[in-house]
Amino acid sequence: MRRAILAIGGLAASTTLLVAVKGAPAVTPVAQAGAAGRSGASGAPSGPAAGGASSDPTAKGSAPPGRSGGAKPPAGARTTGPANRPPAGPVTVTGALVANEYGNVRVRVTLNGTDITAVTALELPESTADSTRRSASVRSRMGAQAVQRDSADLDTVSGATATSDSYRQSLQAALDRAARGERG
Amino acid sequence: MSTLRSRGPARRPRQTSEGWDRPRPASEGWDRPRPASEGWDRPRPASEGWDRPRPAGQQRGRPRGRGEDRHAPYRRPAASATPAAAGPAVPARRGPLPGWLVVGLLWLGLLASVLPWWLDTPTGSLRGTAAQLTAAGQITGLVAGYLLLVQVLLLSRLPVLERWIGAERLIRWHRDVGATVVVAVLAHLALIVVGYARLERRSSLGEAWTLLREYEDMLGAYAAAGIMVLLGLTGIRAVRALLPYELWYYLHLSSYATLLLGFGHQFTHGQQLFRPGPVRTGWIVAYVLVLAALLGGRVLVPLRLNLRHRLRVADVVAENRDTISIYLTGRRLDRLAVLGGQFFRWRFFAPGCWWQAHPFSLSAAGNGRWLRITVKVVGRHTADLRELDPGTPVWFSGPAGTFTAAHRRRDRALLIAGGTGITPIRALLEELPPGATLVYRARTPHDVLLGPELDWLAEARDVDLWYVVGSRDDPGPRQILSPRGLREIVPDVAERDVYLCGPAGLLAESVRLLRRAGVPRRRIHLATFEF
Repeated sequence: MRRAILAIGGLAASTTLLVAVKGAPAVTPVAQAGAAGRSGASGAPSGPAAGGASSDPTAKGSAPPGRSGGAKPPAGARTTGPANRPPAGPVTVTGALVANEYGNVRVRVTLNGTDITAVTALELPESTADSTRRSASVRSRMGAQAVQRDSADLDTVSGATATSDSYRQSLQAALDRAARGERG
Repeated sequence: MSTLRSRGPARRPRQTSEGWDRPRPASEGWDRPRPASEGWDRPRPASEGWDRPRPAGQQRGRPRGRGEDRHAPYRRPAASATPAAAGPAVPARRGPLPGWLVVGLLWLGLLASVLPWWLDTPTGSLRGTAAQLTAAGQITGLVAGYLLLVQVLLLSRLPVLERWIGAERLIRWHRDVGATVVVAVLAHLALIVVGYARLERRSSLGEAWTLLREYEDMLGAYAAAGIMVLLGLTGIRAVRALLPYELWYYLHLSSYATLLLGFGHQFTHGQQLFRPGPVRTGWIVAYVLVLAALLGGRVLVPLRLNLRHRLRVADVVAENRDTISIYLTGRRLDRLAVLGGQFFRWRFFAPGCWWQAHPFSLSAAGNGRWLRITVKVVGRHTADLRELDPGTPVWFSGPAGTFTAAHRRRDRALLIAGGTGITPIRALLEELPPGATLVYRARTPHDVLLGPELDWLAEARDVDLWYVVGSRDDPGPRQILSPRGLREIVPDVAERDVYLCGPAGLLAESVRLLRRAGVPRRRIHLATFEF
């Protein structure tokens, strides 16, 4: 019995340790993420180990996480329609990194003029098997819808409200950047 | 005074002042089978019509056959009147390495089962309480899944485990790992529910309900957790003592259901397992291997053993008022690799007995011709064994146990037996190097089992034999089971292996005593009755 107690104690201690180690702010990955980041939104996963989703710096920067569905993309012209400087040929633009309580969302959109030809989700929440499954349905449904509608005004995927919101925001940010003539 | 010593012919015959009321014969009047080494040549019974008469004094209404040659098979040939020193060969020492190897592999497995989580989770990615709770839930889930497999493996009866680790240690591990599994499963459940609830900003109870209703395979997982908690409760000694053995047994059978019920959700929802890939494949392979071990250890190996030996009950003999010896014969018993002190699990195909298997040690070392177990009648099953008819087919599996001369660390041994605990020690004595000391605790002279054989072995193998008879509080037993008393009879106790078999109380007391006398734990070999 004494050993069982030891084993249980060991299990608790090592689980806590593992979580603490993985939860500690990582120096290198943050720097990389920051370097590869976007102009506006800072959004490296660098929050302290403790604290709720609201303490996430990303949330403040790019977009407030919200279940309201009313959250709008960050500052910048909201030009879903005609582009100012229609580029020649297909261009690829990466959207903002939008964080919500499940993880990060970022999409890359390929445009031919104002015509969305493809949307690739670079990042979607995959912290649990279930959220991975939800993300997969967001990826396929919203991607197809975006190509169909040529806009970021997409229907929410049921069961994945927050991720749908973030997806819309990231896509909108990408479209805005494209409208400003930015690339990459 | 009730401490008796016996060694060599010079000190025999021994009589106590307080009426040792059982005849303790020296070499004459001996009508019990003796160890094979003596050249005792009992006719091998054919499977048909084995009707060896039983020794006088038995209370059974069965007709006896062939009374005239009643004693013929048992009489010791004159030629071997002096006990032959050439007993069964002392087995080679086995060393602890294989055991360590198994332990090392099990620990490696634990690391390997958490490794996928470690590799999957980028450093610094666990932001927020919810993510951390979920991660802890994943870790405990992986650990629980792995330990559950270990639990099954430990009791798979794989010969390698049974003979390297020993059933006693396997049971102890099973107990400890079992407690850990139950806690790990509950922690996994709680952490995941709370973690998901926080992710989705819901109440934990609501989340638990959603998981149950809307997530695939979770119904089974909840059921598995429930069964496991129930099993954990029955594993608590106090609770187990209240349950009839049969109920406990069937509850434990349901543990296989947890394996099945919990299987699905690991692959549909397990973050590390739901994606096809090496991790998922590895996890499935682990399951397959454990099931193969189970099938091999519980079905195939015993099947082969029983097809080869086809054991039958040869005779049931009363040793005293409530103890019987069952003699068994079969084919090719010379090919049965068993060491003195090991046990088999026995299933007797008689009404009321066939559905349960019980472990009993051999009470005589393997001799190639017959096997014997000596059983105290304590419950319904053992009472039924008294009524076994010769010729009853027997299914057995084993041998198991590390309570053998092969597991000794030194060449001198101290053996302490209590009551029926003498049976494995009696067998072990035949294979230990000469010069051992045996302390035999018995409550009354009636409880001394196999006395003549012990006397004979003491003589043949130069064993210092001490009968310590009386209740625990009598001066004799108290004196000898004290540090000073122990030092007096075995001055070099700290340099010996100690083999202990008997009731739990005696074992615990003796272990304390021996540890104080400087015997390291690894040289104390225990055979418990508790399984």
